[in-house]
Formats: sequence, structure tokens, C-alpha cells
Amino acid sequence: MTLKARARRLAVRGSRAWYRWRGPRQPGPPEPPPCPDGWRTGPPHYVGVGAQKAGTSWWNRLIETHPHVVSPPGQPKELHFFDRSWEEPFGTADIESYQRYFPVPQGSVAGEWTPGYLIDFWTPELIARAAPEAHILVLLRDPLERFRSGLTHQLATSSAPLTDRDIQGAFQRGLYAPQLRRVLAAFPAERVWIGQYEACRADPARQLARTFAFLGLPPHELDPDAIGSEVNPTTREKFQPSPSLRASLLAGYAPDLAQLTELVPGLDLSSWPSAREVGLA
Amino acid sequence: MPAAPREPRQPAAGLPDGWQTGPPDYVGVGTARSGTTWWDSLLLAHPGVSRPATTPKEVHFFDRRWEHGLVEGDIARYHALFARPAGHRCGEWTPGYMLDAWTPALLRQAAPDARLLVLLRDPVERFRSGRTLAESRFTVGATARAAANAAFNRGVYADQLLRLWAVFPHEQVLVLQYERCVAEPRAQLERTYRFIGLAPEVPPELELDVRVNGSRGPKVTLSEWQEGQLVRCYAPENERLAALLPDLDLTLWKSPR
Repeated sequence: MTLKARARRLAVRGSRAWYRWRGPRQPGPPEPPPCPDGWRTGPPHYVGVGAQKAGTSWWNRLIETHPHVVSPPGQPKELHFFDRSWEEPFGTADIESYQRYFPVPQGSVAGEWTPGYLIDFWTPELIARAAPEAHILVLLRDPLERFRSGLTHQLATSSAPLTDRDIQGAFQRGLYAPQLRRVLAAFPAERVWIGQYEACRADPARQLARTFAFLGLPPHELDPDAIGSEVNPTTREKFQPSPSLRASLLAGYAPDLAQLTELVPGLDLSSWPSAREVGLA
Repeated sequence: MPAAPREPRQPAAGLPDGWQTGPPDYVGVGTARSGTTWWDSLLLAHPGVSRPATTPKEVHFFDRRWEHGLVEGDIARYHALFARPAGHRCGEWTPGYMLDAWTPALLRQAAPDARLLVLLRDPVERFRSGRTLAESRFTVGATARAAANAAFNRGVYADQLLRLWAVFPHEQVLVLQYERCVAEPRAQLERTYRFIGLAPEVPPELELDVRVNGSRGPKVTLSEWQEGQLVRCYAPENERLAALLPDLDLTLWKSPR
């Protein structure tokens, strides 16, 4: 083994140990990108707010293929701008700071998609203050599949065994109704697009056309090859809840699913196995 | 930060003459920072209620059983914690039972006939009173953000109640409002005694307005914006709860102006 390879291995081990000791990085926004000559910064045209493990990286990448959508080089999909805004006062300086992340040339638009915004109860109202005209994007997924995918991701990134708090936390993220109520309290319904991961998988071209239309962008046909593959696909075996836990999760999601049909009129519950299993579709 | 509480040790074999073990007669299932320790102590003050010194108020029996549910011997282990003289009532009160998705079904298996008690408090005050970091019991990776979310979600009561009702008949669940217990402790206590099958008379020497556990731990200081934000976010959830509970008096809880 070369010295370089050995050093790299040591560095990886060290960073894993650091991660285990320190816990996951407290996510926060990176530095805003430079604003080239002739470009202007301003509030984002769209903000994706959720949900985690519902295909948002894939969908955001497809949105960014539109010729009118600009993504500054190096800018991550997830800004996590509001992650710490519960603890600290949020004022004009914060609004100006947020808007610096979205430089665009004339005729183009920009946005971001941080899936955690949906669960943070303080965030929808702050987005409405920082980007009052923004279009809000939400991708939902069968809550039980989302639960499994979330815990699979956690097991892949941490060596710690799952605890009751992890299970309850992952369950809670799939209770969509209270989360959507907060978004719909902060933004008019016509400026909130609530899509379904399953529909996007089944017919991406059609759903993408809808997304572009919602964003007020001219139609843009995508090369079928470019649509294809998922970002962040799950590579390890999926977390499988025990029959007993699975039954409890389904029973726990049933009242939430029942509310979703009222909150989101166009929602197709029949594409969610959980909803079919509890007799709601 | 404290780890998840350990389950109490099994009592030593051998009961005094005339004592017996069995499923709890009552189980308090919710909710944290809402006066449950105070109310539990008032239950224990009734001459017809007893609980072994080795069994704490919060048993946390189901917390760790999310994966496999109850395995052989678990039900007997749970029942062994509730030793009492014949004719006495015995129970426990773990405020997190109502929150955890897997717990109502397991509790129904272990204590199908138990009378369930839920004490609810204005979720904004509950949030303020919660030692948010401690109550979320996050260890590695705990962030203020995760703790705030966990504390907030504990105050979304309607879904928790629906999960409970999905496995227990409504008449087996008594939902009390903390603010009413404070305002009229005697009437609410009589109601509680009656609900768990006891003579409703409150022992005359009993000090009703002692608030156990009240000042332990710092309160969360909320800014005006934070409080307003909580009030706004909880309002639709409180409305949903009131639709489920006709007796709930929402005028006792903060609502948007």
C-alpha cells in the first residue's frame, strides 16, 4: 500500500471516529455564491421543503435541467438556511442574507430544496417572510416506504444501533398532515405543488411537465436518458420493520392518511400500498 | 443527558399474605410536563390504591420493545411489577406511552382491561415547561433543532389520541385537562377516582394543590415571536383535538388573537 493510500485510510477512519463522537454535522448554509456582472440576486423562485427520502434530489436535478433554471456552481441543493432559526431572532439581515444565494441573469430563475424544512415547525412562516412570492414544492411518498428508506439511510451513515427515539422520529416524519397544514397556512394553495414520488417514478415526463408549468416555466422536453436514474439510490438492504412494528406503524399512519385526502384534493392514495392496506384507497 | 430510563427491577419472589400481582388497573399514558407526577401522587393518596416501593411512577416498560413487541414472559414480567393487597388498585404512569407509535397495541396486549389516563395541558405551556433537550432523550447527534421538533410533536395531541383509540375503547380512556385540574382539583380528582373504580371521596387531609416536580429543571424562555409561532402552529391541531373531545375547554389554552 502506498503512503498516500495509507494516509487516506487513516483520514477516513479518523473522520468516522470524529463523526461517531461528535454526531452528524450541524447542517447550515455554505457561503453565498458570487454574483456575476449583470446578474441580480433576489428571493428564490422556488423552495422545495420536503419530504426526506421522497426522491427530492432526483426531482431537483430534473428541474435544474430546464434552460431557464440557474444553479450557481458548487451551490448545494439543500441550503438548510432556517435550521437554526428557531433559537435565534430572524430579521431583515437574515432575509437579505437568504436572498444572496440566488443570483440569476435576466429571464432566469433559481431555487433550493431542503427536505427538512417541512418538519421544522418554525420554517414555513420564515420562508414566507424571506421569499413571499416563492413557489413551494413538496414531494410525498408512501409513509411506510419513507420510514424504511429513512432508517436505511441512518443505518448506512451511522454505526450506532437504532433506538426507540430513532423509530419514533422516523415515524413522526411521515405524519404529513400537520406538516402540510403549516405550509398551507403560510402560502396560498395555488403556490404549493404537492407531488407524489410514486407518480414521478411512474411517469416522470408528465409529472415534470406539470412541475415546470407550476413554476411558470415554458415547456421543456427532457431526453429520456436524462430522466432515468435516481440520485441517492438505496444500495444496501432496506430496513424491514418486524410484523409487530409494521402493524403499529400502519395503524398510526391511518388517521393521518385520512386527513391528507381532505388537505390535498388531487392526491392519489391508491398509489400508496400503506393507504390501500388500511382501506383508504 | 439522561439515557432512556431503565425498566424497574423485577420484585423479589414471594408476596406478603393476601397480596397479589396482575395487570395494572390503571395506566397513565400521557403526557410529559403536564402535571402527571402531581396527579399520580394524588391517586396514590387514596386508601384503596397502592404501589410497591420498587415500582416507580414511570415504568417505561414498552419503550425498548419497538422491534419485536412482547416476547414470551414479557406480560408476566409486566404484571409482576404491580403487587398489591387484595382489593387495592395498582397502576403506573409513563407519559411517553401515548406518543410512541408501537406502545398502545403492546399495552392492550399486556393490560387489556386497564383504565387509561391522559392528562393534557396547553401545548404552548407544555413546550415552555419541557426541558426540551432532556425530554427528547437524544444522545449522540442531538441538536437544538431536533429537540425543538421533538418537543413540538409531543404537543400535537389529536393523532396520539387517535392512535390510542384505535386499540382501546373510548370509554376505557379518561382525558383530563391540566388547567381544570388546577382550577378544581377536588372535582377532577373525584372524577378520576370514580373512573378507576374507587370510592370518589377525597381523603380529607390530602393537600391538593401541591405541584410535585413543578420547579425542577429550567423553563424554556420563549421570545414573543416564538410564543406566537407556537400558538399559530398548535391552533389547527387543538381544533382537531376539540373535535374529538367535546368536553375539552379550548378557552383555557392559548389561541391566536
